Amino acid sequence: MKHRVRNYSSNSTAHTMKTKLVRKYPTVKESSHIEIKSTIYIKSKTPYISAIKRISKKLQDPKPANIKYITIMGMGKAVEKTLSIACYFQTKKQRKVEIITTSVDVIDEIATEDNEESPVSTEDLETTLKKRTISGLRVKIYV
Amino acid sequence: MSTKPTESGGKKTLNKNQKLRKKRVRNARSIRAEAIIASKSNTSNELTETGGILKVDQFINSRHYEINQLQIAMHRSKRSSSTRVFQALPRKLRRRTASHNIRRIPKRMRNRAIREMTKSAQQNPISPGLKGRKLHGLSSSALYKARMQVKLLRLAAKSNSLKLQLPEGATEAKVNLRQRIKLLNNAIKSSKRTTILKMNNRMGSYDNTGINEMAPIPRGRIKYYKRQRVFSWLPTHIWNAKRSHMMKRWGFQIPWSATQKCFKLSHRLGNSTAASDGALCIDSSFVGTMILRDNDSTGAFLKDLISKITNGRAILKKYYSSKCFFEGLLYDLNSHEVVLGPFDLLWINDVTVLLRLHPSLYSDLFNSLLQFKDNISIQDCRFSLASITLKGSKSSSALASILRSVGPSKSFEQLKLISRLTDPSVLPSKTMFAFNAIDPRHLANPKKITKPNKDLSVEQIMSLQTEFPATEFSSVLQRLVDPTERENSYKNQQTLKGLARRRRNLLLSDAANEHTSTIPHDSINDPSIPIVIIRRQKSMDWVVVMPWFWMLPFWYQLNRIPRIFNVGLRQVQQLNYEQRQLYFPDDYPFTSTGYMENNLYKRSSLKAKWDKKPRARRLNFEKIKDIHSVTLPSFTGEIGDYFSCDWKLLQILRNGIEFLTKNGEEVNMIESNKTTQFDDHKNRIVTVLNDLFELYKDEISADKVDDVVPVKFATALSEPVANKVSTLLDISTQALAIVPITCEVSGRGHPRDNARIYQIPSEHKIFWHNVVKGVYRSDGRIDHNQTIPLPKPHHLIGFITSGTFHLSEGRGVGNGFIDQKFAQEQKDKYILIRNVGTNVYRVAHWDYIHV
Repeated sequence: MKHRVRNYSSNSTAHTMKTKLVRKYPTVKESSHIEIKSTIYIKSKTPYISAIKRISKKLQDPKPANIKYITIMGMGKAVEKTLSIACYFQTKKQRKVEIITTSVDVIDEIATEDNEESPVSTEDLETTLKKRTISGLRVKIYV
Repeated sequence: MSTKPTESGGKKTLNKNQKLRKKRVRNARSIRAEAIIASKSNTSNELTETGGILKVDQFINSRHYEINQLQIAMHRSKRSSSTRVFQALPRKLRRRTASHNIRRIPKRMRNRAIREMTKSAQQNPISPGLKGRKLHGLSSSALYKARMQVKLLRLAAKSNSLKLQLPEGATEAKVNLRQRIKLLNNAIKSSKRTTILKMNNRMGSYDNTGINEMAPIPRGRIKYYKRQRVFSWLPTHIWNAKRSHMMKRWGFQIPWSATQKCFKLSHRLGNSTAASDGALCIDSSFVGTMILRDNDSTGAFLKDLISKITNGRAILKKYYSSKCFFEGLLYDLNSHEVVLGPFDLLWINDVTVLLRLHPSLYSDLFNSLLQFKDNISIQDCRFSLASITLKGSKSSSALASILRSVGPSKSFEQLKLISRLTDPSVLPSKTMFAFNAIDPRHLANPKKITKPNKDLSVEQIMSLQTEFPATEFSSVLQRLVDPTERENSYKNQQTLKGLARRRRNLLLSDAANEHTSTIPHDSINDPSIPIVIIRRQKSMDWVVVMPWFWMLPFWYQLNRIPRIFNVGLRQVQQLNYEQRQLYFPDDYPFTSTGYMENNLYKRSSLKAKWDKKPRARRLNFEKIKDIHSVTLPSFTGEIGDYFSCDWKLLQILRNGIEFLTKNGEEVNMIESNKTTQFDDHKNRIVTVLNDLFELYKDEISADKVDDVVPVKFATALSEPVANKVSTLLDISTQALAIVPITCEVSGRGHPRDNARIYQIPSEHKIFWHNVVKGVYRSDGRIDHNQTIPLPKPHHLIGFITSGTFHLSEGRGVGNGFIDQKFAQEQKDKYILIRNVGTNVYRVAHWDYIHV
C-alpha cells in the first residue's frame, strides 16, 4: 500500500493550522470465510467493466455453492460507481438487487505537532488517530 | 542359445495378485448401459413404418441412468488404480519414503494398510525390528556396538598419539581383547565427571546466550551434532526438512520453498487483499537477535551508537520515546554512506535495545560492536530467541487460537479483540502484544476465540494505540531479554508423555471433564513463556518472538490450523516483489552482501547452467543482432555480463559519460582514424565511448577479487550527489549513486531478472509516446509488429534486479535500480526495458520505491 501524503485543513479542530495526514486507514473488516468469498469491494479506481465481469463470474458460478447473494461495497467517491453497477444488474440482467445505505467509520493517521526534530521521511512522524465518518453503500445482488 | 517356450506364448505370466488386480481394473472401467428398447409391451402396436413414438420420460430416465453410471465408472476406475490406503491420502499427507513401513502410515489407516499388505505378496508388514533378531548370540544393535568397539580399539592401537592416551596394560601384546575392553571401561568409569550440569526440565531445553561473545551452536542430540557444525538447524528443522526444500546459507539450514506448489497460493493468501482467507508462516529464527544494554544508566552512549548505525533515524521520538517498532537500513559504524542492509530495532527501555538482523550481517556487526565492550554489554541471542513470521489475513486469528495468557492480561485481551480482523492494514502503527503465555500443548488442539456479540468498532481499533498497556508490555519484554528469565521459562517444560498423562488423569478424575481436553494451567509448577507479537507496518506481516526451545510446540499447534501453510524464503521474496519492496540480499546491490549475491553467487550458478548446455543448444550472447543502433568494435552482441546485473559496467559507463561531457561536448562513439592511446603511466586515455568499454574490459580482465561495491544507495529524496568525475581514475573508482525503482510494462512481455534498463533517446520520444497511447492496425487491433527504433549503448541507465509477471497487476513488473542523476532529471518517467539475450525493447512506466 502506498502511504499517501498530503495536506488538508481539518475542519473539526478549532485552529486553522494545517495538519499533515500521514495515512488513511481502510475500513474495519471482520469477515467470515463465506463473506470473504462473496464480497467485492469497489474503489474509485476499479474499472467499471472489470467489476461487472468479476461480479457476473461470481453470480454464474457461486463458490461456495450455498451463498444466496453477492455483496458489493462502495464508499465515498465510489458510491456512484457502486450504484451504477447495481443498476446494471437490476435492469440489464434482471437480478434482484437490494441497496442498503450505511455510514462507515474510518481512521485517519495525523502527524502530531510536537515533532521537534524534523524527520526526512513521513513514516518517522509521531502520529495520532482520528475518526472520520463517510457514507457507504452495501448492495446485495441475489444469485 | 536354447529358449524354453513359456506357457503364455511370449507373454509374461501373471501371478494371482496381478490377475486379481487386472480384473478389478476391468470391472471398474465397465460402464453399464440401459438400452432403450422402447419397452417390450409397446413394441407391437406403436411401431409403425414411419417410426415409433419416442417416450420422452423413459428416454430421459434412461439417459440419466447412463450418465450416472458413467460418472460412477470414472470415479471407480480412478480409485481402482490406487491399491494402497496411503495412496488415497490427501496430497499434503502423502509420504513416499518408506511407505512400506506400517509405522509411517497415519494410525487411523494402519489396520487397513496391514490388511492390504498381507493380501499382496509382500513380506510381513510388521517387521520384528532390529532388537528382536539375534545373531551370534547378540541382538543386531549389540553386535554393532561390539564391532564398533573393536574397530575403535584397532584404530587406537595404530596411532601413536592415541596409544599414549590408553591406560597402562591396554596396549600390551599378551592382553586379550576382553581384558583390554575391561581395562578401558574401568578407565572410562574413573574419569567420568561426578558433577553433571543439572537442567530444570526433562526436555533438555536451556538458554544458549553468548554475553559479549558469539554463542555456540545449540546442544542437541549428539547424533545430529556433526551435520550442524557449519550450518546449524532451526528449531523446526526436522519438520521443515520433510515439507520444504532446504538451503544451506549464512550458517543456517533455511527452508527455501515448500515442496508443494505454492506460487498462486502465496500470492492469494500472502498479499493484503480482501480475498485472502488464510495465512502463510515461516520459521524466521535464522534472523539473529542481538540485545544491547548500556552499562551507564543514562544510556547516552547507546543512543549515540544507535544513531550512528541508523543514520540518526532510530533515535527519533517515535522510536526512542514512543517505542514503536523500527524497520530501516543498517549503516556502517564508521560511515553513514555505507549501507549494510535492512534490519529491525525495538527500544525496550532507555538503556536496552533489541536488534533483529539478517544472518549475513550478524557476525560482522557483532564483532565490530565488541570494541565497545566497556560501555555496553552485548547479548548474542541467535540461539536463544526464536521467531515465527506470519503473513495473510488469518494470522491474527491463528495466533489467538493457539495462545493463552497465564493470568488476566490486558495485552492478550487486545489480541483477542482484533483476532477476527481480516484486513490487518487497519491496525495503527504501534501494534504490539506481549504477555506470559502457557504451554501451547495444554490445548489439545487450536481453539478459536468465540465471536463477541458486537462487531469490532473503529474506537476499539484506536484503543490499541491510546490504551497501550505499556507497563505490562515492558515487563514481559524485560523477561524475554533476560537470560535467567528465559532459562526460568523452561522450568518444568513437560514431555508429550507427561502432558498426555495429565490429560488422562484429568479425564479419569471427573466424568465432567469428558469434553474439556484443555489441561488447566498450574501457576506454581507450570512454565510461563514470555512472548512478543509484533505487527510490522512496512513488511506487512506478524513476527512472534519467543524463547528458542519453546518454538517447536507453538509451530506444531500453528500448523494444525486449517488454511495455514508453511512457506520458504522464495515465497518471502515473491511477496516482497509483489508488494514492490526490496528483498535482501537480492535487491540490495549497493550493499556488499547484495553485490556478492548478484556478482558471485547467482552469477556463477546461472553461468554453470549455461556452460553445461552443448554449444548448439545454448544462446550465443555474442552473436545477437540489432541490440543497439550502433556497433562498437570493443564488444558484439549483449552488453555487459550475461549472467548478472553488471554494476561495474554501469559505473564506468555513467561516470565516463559524465567525464566526457563535462565541458558540454557531445559523446562520440568511436574515433575511426586512431586506435586507443595510453598515457605515460600506461593508463588508457578516454576520449570516446569505445574507450569506456575498453576500460571496462581492462577492469574485468585484471581479475581482481573486487569486493568494492561500484554503486551506492540514493533515494528519491536525497540530494543530487555532487560527484564530479574530473580525472580518469574517478571513472572506475567513484561509486555511482543509484535509486530503487519499480516499473510496469505497458503492453506485452515482462521483464526478467538482470534485464537492462535504457533511457528513451530524445529522438525516439514521440515513437514511444505513441506506443504507450496505443498504435492500432486498420482492423482496430493493437499493432505489435512495428519496427522499433534502437537506442545506443550509452543509453544504458540501470538493471532490473527482480522482474516477472505480476499476478495482481496482470502485466510485467520489475524492481530495479537506475542512475540517480537520470532519475532526477526525467519528468515523464518512461524507460525502455530489454531482457538479457533478446533484442526486443518494451516501454515501461517507473516510480520510486521508498526504502
